[in-house]
Amino acid sequence: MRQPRVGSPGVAVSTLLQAIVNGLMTGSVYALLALSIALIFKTMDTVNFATASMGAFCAFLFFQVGTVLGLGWGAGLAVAAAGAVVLGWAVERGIVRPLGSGDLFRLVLATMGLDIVLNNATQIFFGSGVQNINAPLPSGGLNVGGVNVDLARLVILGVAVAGAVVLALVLRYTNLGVGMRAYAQDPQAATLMGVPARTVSRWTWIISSLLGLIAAIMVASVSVLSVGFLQGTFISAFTAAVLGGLSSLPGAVAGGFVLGVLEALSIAYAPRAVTIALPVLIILVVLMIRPAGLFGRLSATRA
Amino acid sequence: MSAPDTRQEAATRPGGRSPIALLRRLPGRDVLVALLAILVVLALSGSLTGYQAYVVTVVVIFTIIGASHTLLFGAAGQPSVGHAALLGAGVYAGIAVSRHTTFGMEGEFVAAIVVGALIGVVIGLPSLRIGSLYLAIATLALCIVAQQIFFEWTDLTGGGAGTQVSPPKLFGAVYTPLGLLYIALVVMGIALLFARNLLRGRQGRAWNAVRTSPLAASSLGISLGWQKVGAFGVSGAMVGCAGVLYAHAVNYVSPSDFSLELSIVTLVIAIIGGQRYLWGAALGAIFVEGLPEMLRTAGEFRYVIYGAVFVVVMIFFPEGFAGGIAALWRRFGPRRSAPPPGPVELEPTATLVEAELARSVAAEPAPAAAAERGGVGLTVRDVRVEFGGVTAVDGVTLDVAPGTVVGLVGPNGAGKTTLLNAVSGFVPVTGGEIRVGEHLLAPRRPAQRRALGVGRTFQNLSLHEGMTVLEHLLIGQHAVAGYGPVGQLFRMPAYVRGERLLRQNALETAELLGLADLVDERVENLAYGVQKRVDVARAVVARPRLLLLDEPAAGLTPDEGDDLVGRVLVHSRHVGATVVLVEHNIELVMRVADRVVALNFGRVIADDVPDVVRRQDDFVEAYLGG
Repeated sequence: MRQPRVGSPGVAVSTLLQAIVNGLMTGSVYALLALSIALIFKTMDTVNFATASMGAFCAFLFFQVGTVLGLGWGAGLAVAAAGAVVLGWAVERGIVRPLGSGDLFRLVLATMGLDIVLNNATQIFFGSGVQNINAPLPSGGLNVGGVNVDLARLVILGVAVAGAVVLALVLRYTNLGVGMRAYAQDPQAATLMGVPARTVSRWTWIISSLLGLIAAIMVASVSVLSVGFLQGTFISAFTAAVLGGLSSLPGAVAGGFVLGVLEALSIAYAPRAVTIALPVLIILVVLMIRPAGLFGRLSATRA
Repeated sequence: MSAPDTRQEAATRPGGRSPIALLRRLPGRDVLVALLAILVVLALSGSLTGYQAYVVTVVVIFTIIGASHTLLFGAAGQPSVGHAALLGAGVYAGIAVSRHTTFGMEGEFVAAIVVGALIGVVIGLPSLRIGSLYLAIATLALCIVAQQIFFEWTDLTGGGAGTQVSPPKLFGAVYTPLGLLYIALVVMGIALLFARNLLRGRQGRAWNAVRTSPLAASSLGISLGWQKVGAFGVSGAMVGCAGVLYAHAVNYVSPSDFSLELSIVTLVIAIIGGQRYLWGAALGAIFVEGLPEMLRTAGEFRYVIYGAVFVVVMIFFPEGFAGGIAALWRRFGPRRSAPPPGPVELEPTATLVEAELARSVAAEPAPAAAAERGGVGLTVRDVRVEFGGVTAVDGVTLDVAPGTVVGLVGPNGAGKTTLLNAVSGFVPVTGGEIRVGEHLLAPRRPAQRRALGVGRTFQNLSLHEGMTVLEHLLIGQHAVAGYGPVGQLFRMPAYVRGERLLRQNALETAELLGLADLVDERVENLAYGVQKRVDVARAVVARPRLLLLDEPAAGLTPDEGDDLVGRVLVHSRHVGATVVLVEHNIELVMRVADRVVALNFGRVIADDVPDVVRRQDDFVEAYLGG
């Protein structure tokens, strides 16, 4: 088959398609971490700046148990998940509840302090080396009509979509989920209607922590594991959440995919500086033009 | 920041001849204490090793940066997570000057202050549109962009490898690390002095007003946008200044220094030290920058320790170290007076009110005379206000003659407060026009309407928490203060004279509204009825030409309500102001108003002298249910 000339319509279309496919795959990770951020914001009215360090800490647990101690993936996942639950619970019990709901900015700062603590704790416990978690993901790729689809990333996309679907089901069909949604809309009314505020708050943090863990393992399995390895993804996920309106879960997912595609497109077509600055530019543009994001609603207190 | 002026205190609270009371009467005692602290550091500095001098210098630098947050976050309420960008801007502006010119630090400071202020303004621009949490996000984003720019601008910054900084040179002389410490102390002294001058007086009050109640602030002629962006500019200038010192202190700077973490650390310094107190910045800097150095034996655990302490302080000392110390001092320190803790009640002075009520019923309004004395008319033509599908005000037309008192009545939801909000500029008018005197209101922002003489009170109280009654009366005079930020920065005669007049006028108004004994009380300690008085006093203190009173008697006992409205009307008739009185107490309105306008479902259903309106059928039906 004759190679199409550079710049011919065939190449242009396949480059575009390739960028979109790559973007959707990267975007799936953003979407999952953005869900973690948006879930907290929707229910608790705050941004958890320790999202990345919490997820990273648990991903290290997973690596330590599964690979270093050689107990395998299953044991690693179980311990990491337990760690995420305990961490989410501890943060809610130890920081969120004592600080109360009066001053949301104070809580934001406290999570920043937590981020410092956790990052340094990770380094102390697990060292500052760079690890490869050797995920048992399929290698190679499929070629679909000239577009290369990396199998490992395809699996990750699947996991992310599954995670989002499970979360949606939990929120829609379980008592806890309905309580969380009611609490998010109006904490006072929900509490008066018998929604247990503490339970809602506790599980919001635990679920958010678990989402962070999944995202962390996903990122580590296609790149590497090191202290602070999730920070870049966090910035992107945070951008995705802002893009989606911060308080909207579907918005967070959509924002994740949109950002992933935009990033991939800018890698393919724009100078490097644009790619680097892209999340920030998006945040600024969204905040200046439409602070409620694509899907969010803006409450008077936050406006 | 909220410390009452010493002279004021001496004037209203005689007695107290103890040394501490005498010290308190000394003007500028805070400056003396600060100078003393700096002198102590100087005295000890002789025995410092080079490394210790470096640590102290870093603490001094971060005190300046922390103090910039005291202005920006503590006073103006604007959280910035972008201060690393400002520090970097100062650093590289200084480096550029030292490389490309023959100037030493004298030139570097000028460049860094200018660049810092400009970048500060840029970082602050989003604050015009968005609230504090989103602002933190926007500044965070800008911080990351700035760091990327530093990385890419390799000519100046050396990119990832970093760049060497020339030794500190000031007016031709080269300084050692110890010498740099002296320079840093002087710069810190000047920066803190300027910051303190700005926080005292009109500027500081305006920032605090913007933070505690933006709505009320804009009704007083305080432009929210200018105040916020201005605070960012001042903060940026301070941090730029600190940047020059930082570059020389560390000798070698890399773009990786100016990370998001650094931004957060600077904010942590201000908050952990107590963001409402300038000296809190010093405590915070000692804790965050000094302590980890002292804790070097704790090894890698020290950041865990300090992060954990930060979280604990956030939970248990919401006002930081300085706030905690100030609270202890208030509790256990020498008493400045016998403070009446808890709510303070007022006795209505019935005679004054009755006199006014009797007068107002008897007297003919004299619009011509009133106009000369400063009253201004309000003209409302076919005004509509719609929220989505709801029409709150539906084609209202009314005229308020200068110097008259017009009562605006109607059932709940009739559109009374919405109409006031339209005049104040808090809700957009979707049709018709409003004029104050000859001036069309439509294009003017809320803060600009104060210049036309529009003042107002708030139905649900919009007071400035943490500030005293006197400070409220001073904030009320923001638009007529007679001096600007520059005069205040340098304590020029205009400032001193202006402040004296403002205080005098504030005390007169306090007297008039029966608040004279409470001027030094914080408003949150006052009973509701008294708070209501403060809200009204803040509106009348600068003598608005058109005063909008939004349910001044709501929530008060009938006696309290009569008393408050009576006192205000005595004042406004005295100065000839026009008054629009929204009030549910129909009997009160009928007694004091020259005209009564009744609204129902956003329309005018009656507009006449009280006695006529009282007998009008649809008014009676709407109001009393037939």
